[in-house]
Amino acid sequence: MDDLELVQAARRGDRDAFRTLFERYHRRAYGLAHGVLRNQDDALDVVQEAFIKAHKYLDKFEGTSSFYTWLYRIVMNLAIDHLRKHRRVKPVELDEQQLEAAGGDADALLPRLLGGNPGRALLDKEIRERIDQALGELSDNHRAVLIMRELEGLSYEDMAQAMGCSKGTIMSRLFHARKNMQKRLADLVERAALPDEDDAVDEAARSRA
Amino acid sequence: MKPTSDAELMQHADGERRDDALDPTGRAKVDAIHELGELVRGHVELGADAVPDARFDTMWRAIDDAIAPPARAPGLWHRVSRWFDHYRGHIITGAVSAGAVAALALVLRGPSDAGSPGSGGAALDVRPAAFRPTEIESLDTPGGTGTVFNLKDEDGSTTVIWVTPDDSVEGI
Repeated sequence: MDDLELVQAARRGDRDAFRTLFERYHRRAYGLAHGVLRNQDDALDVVQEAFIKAHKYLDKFEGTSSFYTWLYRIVMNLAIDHLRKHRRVKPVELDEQQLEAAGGDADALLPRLLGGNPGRALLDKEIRERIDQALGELSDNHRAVLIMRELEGLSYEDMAQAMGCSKGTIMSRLFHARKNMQKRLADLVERAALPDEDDAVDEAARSRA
Repeated sequence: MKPTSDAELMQHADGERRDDALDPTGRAKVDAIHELGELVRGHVELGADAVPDARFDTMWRAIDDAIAPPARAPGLWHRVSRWFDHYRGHIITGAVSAGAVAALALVLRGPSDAGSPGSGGAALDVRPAAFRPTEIESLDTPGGTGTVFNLKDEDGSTTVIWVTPDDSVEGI
């Protein structure tokens, strides 16, 4: 059954259908919540509440977007509310003027990161720890925007609606989130640029051929 | 149109802006933005995969409880069943204890009790001694004469022992 059929069945009181929707999306929703909140228990609470709300308001789901698109908006709203309630959101760090200033800086964004193989990089425990640390050092607003963009591919306009701010503010936050992440991971670039043993073996084999 | 700033390059990378051509540096920066995105996405997804299934099972039970339709008022049988379910352990413990005591009593009673009701022997007379008729086997009254009366009335019978001294005159 596709998501829409499951939603229709759940509206008729079929809890198994709703469970199927839960099974399909709970980890993805958790990843989103945890990326923003960076606390396992808080993220689990938010996901649980999101599914309960989704069920409560199933009649309002019109089917013009996918069920998950609808769900992640609920998750994001709850996660942002959670940040606000716990007073973790700092005042906006950068505004549009700062973005323009940064835009004039030719070296603001790095032209390369970890050698173009993120999959391999993620196998490295140290790199993952560094990514985690770098995400943790971002402000909540910057991290929320980065997570929304990278996990869900939200447009600037959608993110602005979700966070209740202007599109320019979203661009500013996203730009500086990326710049700060690159800066914090910059020292990994040199190491990644060195060929590892497998590459050396492959290169030698190619040379012999 | 050609991007002139990193901010415009970022918009290009995010599909918010359409550029015809990028110079090599611009192309490299866009690639680096995409690579960072893959790193963040992969890192978060791996983190989500590491959460034990049991946490989500617990979550589902909480969700299922929350979305369950409100239950109707329970009937008498349902309440009795719930009460029994609640105290099942106590009830079973009590029943086993009572059985054990009964079994112990049967074992300890011994063969002298073989004539108990239902065993086929004579029934025991369990009436209180006060209801038995008084039987006087001998009456010794030195220096007088003893007489025993058994007076019957509506409450039963009363035994009277009347002793008359030898040197007295009856009636005085």
